[in-house]
Amino acid sequence: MRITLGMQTNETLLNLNDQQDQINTLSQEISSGKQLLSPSDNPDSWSQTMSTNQTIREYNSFLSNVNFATGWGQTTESALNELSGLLSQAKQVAISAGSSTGTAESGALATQVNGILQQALSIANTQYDNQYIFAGTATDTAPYSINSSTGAVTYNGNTGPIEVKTNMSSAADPGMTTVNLNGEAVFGGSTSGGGSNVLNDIWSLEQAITSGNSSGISNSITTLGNDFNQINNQLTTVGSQLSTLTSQQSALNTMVTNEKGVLSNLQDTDIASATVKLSQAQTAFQAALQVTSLLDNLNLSSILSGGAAG
Amino acid sequence: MASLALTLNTAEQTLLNTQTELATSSNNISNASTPGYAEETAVQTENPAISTMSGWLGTGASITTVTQARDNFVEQQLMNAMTSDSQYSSLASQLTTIQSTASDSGNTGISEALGNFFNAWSTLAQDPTGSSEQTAVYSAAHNLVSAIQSTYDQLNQIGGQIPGQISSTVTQANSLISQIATLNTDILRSSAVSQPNNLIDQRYEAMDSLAKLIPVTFSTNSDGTVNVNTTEVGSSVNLISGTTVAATISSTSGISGGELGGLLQAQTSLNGYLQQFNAFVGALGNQINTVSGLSVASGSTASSISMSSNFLSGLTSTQLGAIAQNMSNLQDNTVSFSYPSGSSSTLQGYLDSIQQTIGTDVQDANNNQSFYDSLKSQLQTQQQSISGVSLDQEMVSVIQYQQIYQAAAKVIQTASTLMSTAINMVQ
Repeated sequence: MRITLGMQTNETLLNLNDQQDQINTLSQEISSGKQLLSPSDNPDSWSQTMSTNQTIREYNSFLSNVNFATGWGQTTESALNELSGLLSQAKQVAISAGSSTGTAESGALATQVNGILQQALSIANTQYDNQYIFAGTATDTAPYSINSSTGAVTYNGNTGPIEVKTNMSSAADPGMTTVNLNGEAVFGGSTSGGGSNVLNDIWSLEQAITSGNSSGISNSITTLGNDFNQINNQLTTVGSQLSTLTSQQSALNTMVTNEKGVLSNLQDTDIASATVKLSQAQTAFQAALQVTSLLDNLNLSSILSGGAAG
Repeated sequence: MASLALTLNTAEQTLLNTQTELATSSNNISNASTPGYAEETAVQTENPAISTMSGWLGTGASITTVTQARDNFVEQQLMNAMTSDSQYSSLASQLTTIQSTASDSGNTGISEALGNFFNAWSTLAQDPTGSSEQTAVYSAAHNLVSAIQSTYDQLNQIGGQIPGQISSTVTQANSLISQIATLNTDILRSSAVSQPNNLIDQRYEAMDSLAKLIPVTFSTNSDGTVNVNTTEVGSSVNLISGTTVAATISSTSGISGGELGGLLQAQTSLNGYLQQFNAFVGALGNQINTVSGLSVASGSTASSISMSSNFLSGLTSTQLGAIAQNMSNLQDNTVSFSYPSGSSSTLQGYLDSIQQTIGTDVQDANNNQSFYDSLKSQLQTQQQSISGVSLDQEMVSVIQYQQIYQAAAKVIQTASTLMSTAINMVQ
């Protein structure tokens, strides 16, 4: 092949450009720490990166919901623990009221029961994050009130579950977790329809003690015992909900970590291999430069100028 | 005596010939790096012999013409490669700009805004009447709209610049077409005297420039002019016939190669992306309104979409809770989109696919460009091997001419000595 000046210059330039381009790409990958800088670098990986980022974002939102549900559950648990204590206290009072005779003593016991009633009422209207936890989904109004003269309890809440999203939804699994306990299942609903209610039961005890109705008192011992069991059942429910939430939380954390690993595999530069490639490219570039400078001297005119012309 | 005078004449012509050859070599050397220059050769032919008593005597040589080294086949191949190279390089550069505007790796831009929008609804389920939760939903909705609109506006802006580039490319191409026709006229006129190498070089330069803008095929006529054709919608169209311009091109000519073809292709691709964005926005607004049962979004295109700023007001905690749950589930739902027709995926998945489409298009353009770039340089090497100037070759020729010149001068000296000897003889 006939070698001409234009050819040599073109090829040298092209090769040097190619090598510099390679060095540039590699050093960009190393300095940015990312090998996936734009969709065209690898459209499939890019799309995977996008959906992984979205998954991580969703998991983080699930984690926030799980934390919310856990807080709600813990508030519920401590409220119920307190209520269960109050009920056993009321039962003790009823037992001692059944064996007492003096009116003065009855008055003191009745006052004590009234105190228990007020505390139970305030537990029934417990708030978490400014929301009434025993109100079903009507969380913005206090659910329970009691008429102190008739003992009628009004429930302003409903039986609706509060649900938050803690998993991807699919046709089989909407991915929702129920946060609240049914208020009616804990305390009972309104008494206007003749239903029973924990608050009403405590009020009845107070009435029975005040009026010295001994059969009423012994009746209260039974109803309060039932209420106590009912609360303890609800406590068990909350406890299992909380333990589910804890395992959900650790599962979500693991999944976020996994997804981040996937992300890193997709977009991060393998620094070790990139560095090795870079040093190879540098060596090749240096060699090319050296060859170029060698070519510069490799022509007839530079040798002839030695004096052959004379 | 006759042959002594002949010797002198022949030697004199040799001196003149070597001077012409040296001038040609010198011209080659000085144009060694001139773009478009083709190596020239002074063509030397033997003079007719004369009959003498001693037989046929040669009368030396003379330079008949100066030719240039060209291979039209390689030139045509090179032009084709240049056409494809500049087509994909202009397409790649347009699409890369579009890509950097539209891409967000799912962590910024529309993808992030969409994710945050759904997360805000998911948080609203925790406290449906909470004012900070509601504010978060409103501001996420607002951010989503502005992310969509700013991306769409930027893409539109890029799209708005393409027609200007197209029309300036068309103007450039048409001016090159008339330039080539004028050069044809000049070449036709000069050819009567001898081959006008520099005009031919200029014409190849102009054809190369034209080939970068539009696809070009050329054929040389016997009178030295060239006919130039291009390809419009798959069929050949004559642009230059000899000295006349047969047709010019316009932006609607249906050119599919060269810089012009690349720009037109970029415009088509961009319109496709914009259509996808609009399909996304249409589906988004429709789904939000359907799933929430509220009138949240209005406007079904990226430029017209807006979200109401009080869609949560007047609802009870129970209603809001149910809406918040449905809305946070919407991000996992498969939704159908109007473009490409029959397509369906999640809303986020559709955003992924838009970016994947753009990424694939850019990757294709880049791959094609680097292929045609290396094909072009391979052909350039081949073209330079034929038409380029080899300095070593010129140096060898120069030495050769120098020696011939010295020898011819020696012949003149000898002949002149002989001549004076002969003259002195008769004194």
